[in-house]
Amino acid sequence: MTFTAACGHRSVVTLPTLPAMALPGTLGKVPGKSNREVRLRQLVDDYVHLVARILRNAGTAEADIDDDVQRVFIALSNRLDDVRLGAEKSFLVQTALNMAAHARRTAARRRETLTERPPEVGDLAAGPEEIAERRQTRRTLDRILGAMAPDLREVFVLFELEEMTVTEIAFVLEIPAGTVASRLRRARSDFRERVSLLDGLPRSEVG
Amino acid sequence: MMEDLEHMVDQDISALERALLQEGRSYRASDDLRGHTLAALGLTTSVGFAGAIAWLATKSWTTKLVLALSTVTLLAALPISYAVLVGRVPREAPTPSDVVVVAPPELALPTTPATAPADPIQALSFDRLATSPSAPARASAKTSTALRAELAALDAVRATLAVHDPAGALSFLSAYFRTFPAGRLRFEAEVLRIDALAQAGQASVAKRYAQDFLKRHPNSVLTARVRPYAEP
Repeated sequence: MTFTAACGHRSVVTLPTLPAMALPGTLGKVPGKSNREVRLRQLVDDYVHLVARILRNAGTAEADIDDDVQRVFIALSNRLDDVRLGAEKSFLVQTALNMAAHARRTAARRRETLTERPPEVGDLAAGPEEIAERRQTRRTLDRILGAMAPDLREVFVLFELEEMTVTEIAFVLEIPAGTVASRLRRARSDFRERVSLLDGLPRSEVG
Repeated sequence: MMEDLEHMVDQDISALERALLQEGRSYRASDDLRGHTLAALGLTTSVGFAGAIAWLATKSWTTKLVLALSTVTLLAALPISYAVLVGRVPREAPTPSDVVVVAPPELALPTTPATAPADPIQALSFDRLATSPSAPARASAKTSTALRAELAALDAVRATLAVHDPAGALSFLSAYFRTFPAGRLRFEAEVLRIDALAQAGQASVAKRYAQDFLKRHPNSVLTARVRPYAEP
């Protein structure tokens, strides 16, 4: 079973429901306005920071996080009746990824930056001690994730940073689990290779 | 098999790799995000009652008064709380003709309904409270405190609208715009004003406000809520 998620005025994606990702709260026993509000409020409580984190790690600028989180939840609100109970997280994750991809494309056009270009060591290398500082770490992570191919970045963010399972990711992205695993391997290899340029570590096999 | 994949943070990885992954995992947006999101969805941002009481206990009497006003309105759903500020027994609910619309500085509508300065509701002013003797302490309050005050003020508006008292809601909004001329929830307040005007039967005024809002903020996340009012 699928539902269609519209992301603002842009892309339309078809998402699978995800029975394994049940809403933490118990909601929606009776359809109606008040239940709808309760459901929305519960979803905001449960997932607002997850959506913000996915947006941020998938490439949305810090300054745009508030607005884009609101856009994601407004998209959910507009389609709430079509989203099956238990499938909300899947909807939110996919919409956030679409939103971040759009933000990244817009930023790329605006700044004429080549985000697919691997980061220059000189851009990033500031020494392990300095990089350990939080802001520098964030900037470094942004650059490394930003340099990844979009399909690899999505899988990497969902698995390594959001700790979603391969099966969950396969549902959300609508790709076979084997594809998720192979993308994850490539994403890890890409990540470690870029980090090793900064860290002076030898490249290692990624499993 | 694939479900057995171990996360990198659980593997033997470099310190830098670990720091980067932990940074990505621990990202947290501002504490105001939940309130902003609920406001964008048109939902009240009610906090737990016990939490509100605890917060009230730390505030000055003027802040308590403002928040008590909101709380009373939320709980009793009556504009009777206005009387607390003016020392008068509330009169009957005002009719639409009593409605006072205080437009923000850059948005003065030519057909704004006539004002009724004698209306006790006009005495409600967050601004007046802000300049009271205890104001200096509040002036230095953190941004988050100001935002909570804004949220409480708009919660009062929503609660008043929920019991179909648009005149009360507009009066609350007048006080909001005076108190927070550059408020962070200003756009939400503008949308609530449109809601209130429509509920008060002033569809043409609501329509003009809606059209103006859409013109000024075509990409706002609130356009979906405003657009129906702007349509013929």
